[in-house]
Amino acid sequence: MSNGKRDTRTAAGRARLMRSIGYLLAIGLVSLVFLFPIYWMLATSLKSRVQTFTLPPVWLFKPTLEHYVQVITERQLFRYMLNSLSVVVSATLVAVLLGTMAAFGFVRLKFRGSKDLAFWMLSTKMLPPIAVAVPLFLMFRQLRLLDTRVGLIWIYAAQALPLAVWLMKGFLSDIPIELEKAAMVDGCSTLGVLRRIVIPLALPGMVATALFCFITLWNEFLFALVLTGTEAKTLPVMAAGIRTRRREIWGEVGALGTCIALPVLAFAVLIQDYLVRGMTFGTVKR
Amino acid sequence: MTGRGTDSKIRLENVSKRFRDGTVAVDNVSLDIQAGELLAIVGPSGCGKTTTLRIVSGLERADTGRVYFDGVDVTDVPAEKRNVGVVFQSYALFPNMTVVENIEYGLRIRRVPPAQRRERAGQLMEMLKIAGLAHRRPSQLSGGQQQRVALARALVIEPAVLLLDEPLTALDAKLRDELRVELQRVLKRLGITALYVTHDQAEAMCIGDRIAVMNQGRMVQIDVPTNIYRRPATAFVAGFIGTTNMARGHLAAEGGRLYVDVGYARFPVPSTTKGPGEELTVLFRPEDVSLAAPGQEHFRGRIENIFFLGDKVRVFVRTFTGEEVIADLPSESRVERSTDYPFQVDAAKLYSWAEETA
Repeated sequence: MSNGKRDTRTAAGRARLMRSIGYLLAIGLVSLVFLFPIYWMLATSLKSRVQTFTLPPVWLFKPTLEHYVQVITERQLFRYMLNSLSVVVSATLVAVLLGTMAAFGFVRLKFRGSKDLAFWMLSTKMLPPIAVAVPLFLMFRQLRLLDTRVGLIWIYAAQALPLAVWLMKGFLSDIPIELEKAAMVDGCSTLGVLRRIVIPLALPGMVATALFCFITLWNEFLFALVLTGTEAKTLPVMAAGIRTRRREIWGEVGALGTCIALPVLAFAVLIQDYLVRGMTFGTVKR
Repeated sequence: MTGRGTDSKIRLENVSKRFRDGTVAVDNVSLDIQAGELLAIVGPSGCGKTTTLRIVSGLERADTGRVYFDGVDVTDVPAEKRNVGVVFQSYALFPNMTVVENIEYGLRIRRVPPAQRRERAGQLMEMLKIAGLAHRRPSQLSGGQQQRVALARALVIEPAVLLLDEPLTALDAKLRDELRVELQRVLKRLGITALYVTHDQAEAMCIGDRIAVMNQGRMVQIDVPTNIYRRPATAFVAGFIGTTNMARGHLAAEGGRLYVDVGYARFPVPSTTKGPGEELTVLFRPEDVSLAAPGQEHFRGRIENIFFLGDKVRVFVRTFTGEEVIADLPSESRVERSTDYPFQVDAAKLYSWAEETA
């Protein structure tokens, strides 16, 4: 091999290495920007009250669980978490199930105005929630649904439904229609096709949709604030109310924030296999 | 379901289908398929052959006309209750199931006991040589294997009729040839009534007991392969099935016989109702053209192109009137490009239409 060729290869290899280092640095920097607040929240929750206010900040410290004990005992964390979990999980299930069926209808049953109807569903997301907060409050009072989990489940399901329909439309339209036709000539009814073929195939998409709905609803604040009082109060509303004028309680805020983030994280980890399949659904030609 | 006296296994009576955009997919089609017969529907893309198949399967509903299975009107019977097996072009195997689960699926829906299911699926897998693939997923199979699984899945329910929608199109040429033979062998062995849709005229000729040629939603001709090839009903059929030389000219009488003068040649006329002076189109196949001995030629022409096809040589001949004639000569023929040769056409193979339907 001539020296010239070897030099060219060495230079190309060096450029590739530099490019890889550049990418890694950029990824590291972006990750730092996003992960630092989470680290700060976790660190604050594990520091003592004095360490929290120490300047410059303490980076190495002996962790304490005192703030977690406080939010669990004094703030009744589990009670509100149960409220949040029951409302959000139920609403997510309702939204994903109804959303899948509605999306199947939009994708497979061509009827007059189907496009308009699908867009109308999406357009409901364009309305600022505050615009309907007061009318909903009045309706809920009339229906005796104020400060009940059932009431909040309905509102949350309705709020997540357009998202579920539109996400599931994308997933379902990637399932070849021949599979459904094949199942039909094999003796399946339309509902049977949905149950035996479409849902098993769309499961990764349904799980991804469920996660999006779960995150959206888990963080929901406005309706929970307006429509609940004490019985059905959810975690975000409870978290917003724990700051007092008497003392700064950043340790408790950090512990509560960590506890609020944990279920979402756990859910995402639990379903990550499905999630990856859901995210890449339809991206490759089958 | 209402009965209707007929000997046909499948009968389509004046079936029409128009799509929402106004396209007439199937236009007044009538069709009879006898029990155990394999009818191949062939035609160009968009001619309505797949729509016809879907109407038979129940996946598509006809706007007008009736469909009968064994003399029973099934026009309003949904697909899942017609007991038809369909092999789709894309095979449509369920990706979330193994091969054996795919094959057993129709039986499971029909609540057939597991032991029977396994036995019937096993028999078909043996017959189609896929027994070793039982626990693989469709994504782990080759195109040919997927095709066999799709066929087994369609056959396992013992359908009244098997519908095959371009089942070999997705395969490469060699595999297609192999499977075509095997498919016909299996279908004949089972004695199943089948409707086979393809755009490949060679495939239709090979596989069909009869061939139905479709164009623009209409059945143009339904006949046995030799008649479709030798006695095409229209210029479309002649042009679509195989390679054809067509020539148009005026009839002339000479010595008590009729001839047609097509400009570059005078061909003796096969039977016709037309008389001298009238126009007539004759057709002949490339294999009916041969090099002529001196004085025996029907026409002379210059060879412009030569393609060696193994068992024969296809030559493209330009006549002195500028017409192109295609001839298939024996592979040992010593012909050269840009050279004039005399040609003759086998008069017994010349064919013309009594009525011009081109």
